[in-house]
Amino acid sequence: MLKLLSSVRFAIVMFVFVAVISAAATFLDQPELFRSLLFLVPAGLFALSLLTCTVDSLVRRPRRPLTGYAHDLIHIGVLILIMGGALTLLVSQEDRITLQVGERATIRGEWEIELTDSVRTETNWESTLEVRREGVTVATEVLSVNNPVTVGGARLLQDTWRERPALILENAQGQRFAMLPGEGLASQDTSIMLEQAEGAPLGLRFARFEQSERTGDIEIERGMEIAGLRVVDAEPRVQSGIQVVYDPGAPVALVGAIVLVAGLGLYVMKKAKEESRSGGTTA
Amino acid sequence: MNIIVSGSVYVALALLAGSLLYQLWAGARRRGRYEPAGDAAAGGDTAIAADAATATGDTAGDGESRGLRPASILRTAAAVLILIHLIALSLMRGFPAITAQYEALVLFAGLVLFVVQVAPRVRTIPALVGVVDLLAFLLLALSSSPLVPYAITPPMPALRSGWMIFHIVLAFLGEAFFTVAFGASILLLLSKSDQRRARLDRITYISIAYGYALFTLGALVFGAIWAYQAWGRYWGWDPKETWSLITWLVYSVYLHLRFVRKRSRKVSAIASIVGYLAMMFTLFGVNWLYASVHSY
Repeated sequence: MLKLLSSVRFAIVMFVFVAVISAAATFLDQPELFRSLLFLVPAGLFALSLLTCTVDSLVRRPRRPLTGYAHDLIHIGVLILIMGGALTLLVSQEDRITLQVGERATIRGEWEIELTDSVRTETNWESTLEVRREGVTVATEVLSVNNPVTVGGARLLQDTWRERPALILENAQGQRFAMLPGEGLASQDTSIMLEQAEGAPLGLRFARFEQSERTGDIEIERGMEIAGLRVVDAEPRVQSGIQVVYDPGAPVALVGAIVLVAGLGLYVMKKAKEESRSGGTTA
Repeated sequence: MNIIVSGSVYVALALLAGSLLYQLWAGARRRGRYEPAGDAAAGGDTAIAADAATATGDTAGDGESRGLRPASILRTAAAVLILIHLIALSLMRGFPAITAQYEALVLFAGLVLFVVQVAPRVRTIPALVGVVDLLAFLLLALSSSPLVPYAITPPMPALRSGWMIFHIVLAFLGEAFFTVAFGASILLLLSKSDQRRARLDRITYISIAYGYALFTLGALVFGAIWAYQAWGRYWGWDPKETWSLITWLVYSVYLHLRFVRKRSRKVSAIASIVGYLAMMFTLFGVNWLYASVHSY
């Protein structure tokens, strides 16, 4: 059995099998195939084949020149990568939150972030976050695309950013609040929902629904009353989309990638040496 | 400025066409000189036939030293022009011009020309140089065709990353080596001389060995690091990622076939061709067939 697992022919069969299933998953548009036993079993056998082949090679020829370890390092690197991938598959968590300036969100139970500012620069989207633990501010971080921030072991990434007009409404007690497109008011069978409208005075209008059927639009103007609320104005509001990722498999995969790169470096050195020895270099 | 910049690609195309025409003319001249000794009747293999007639070993019969230097000069001029074109585009955009499909294709064509000049043994076989030059010409022609949109627009924030630059440049450098291997594999399958097949097999192998290391580093490792920085996940089974993995697996098959006893050169050449087709599908097919985070 071990002889079969460590054989090159078995490795080739596994390569082909994994490649065919991967191609099928994309052609059939079935990404869930990668989480099925049809993929995981051959991937596991492939990892087992790599392991037995590497152990066999190290036991059989423990001493050799540095470049002679190239294949083993490549195999070990891929093995660690597979382990990282498995860990990611089993325990990683991903979530998306959308915050407006002044809003807060809880990260991994005991941490809290508050969006204090969010701007669009010439080349990026930037969100300033106040990070708190047990109510105490511990850091102020600037988050932008390609510059993630780590909070409580989770990575926060700037995912989306958009600026939309918000309708400022005032109730009879003089309290003001903002309503964003997509939000609305409902009473019994009738409801209204705010939506963006090009050319409208405030860039917004209400869509009216009766028993879920759209029955018409309500134009919005400053000072008008709707459902007992007075329209004060419209002002732009930023919504910062933040991705929260917890993935303990990623550092493991990174170690695998480093070992793999070291192995590839030795492999290239070995091939270059072979070429210069055989006098085939024309460059 | 814009017209000068875009026009430089057409000049590079013309230079490359000149290089190809010169190689054809030189090949025909050599065929006239060597035809009785080679298997010129094999069709399309005339330059190799002439080469085989004079070659005594792997390093003998350097095509460049046998009158192909003008073609080499034209090729180098085209590569330099492509480099200038990309630098000018980058200055206009304020970021390395390698992120849009047009720019990526121009970069790829330029790297193929660069690899022809530096890859081991390639220039010892004029027919191989011709085939690879032709592939670079086709890539450049495709980039300038209406099939590929051309617009100087600033890249989206996620693309503005140093990791992304390493990811794209090294992946295409690896793919340029794969292009040489593909050309050598095609010629190997067409060739009838065992000695010539051995030389082409060696070129295929060494090109894939270098290409594999670069492709792994660029497409998979740096691509994963960039994805982790930009999207928080280092692998997401996106169609482009999956097809890059398939390409890597096929070339892994090729490299492992060399450890199989009684290895057939033809089977290895077929594996190399399948790998290249998978790579081309990753490059073009995925963009046209699937919605992907890589379809910019």
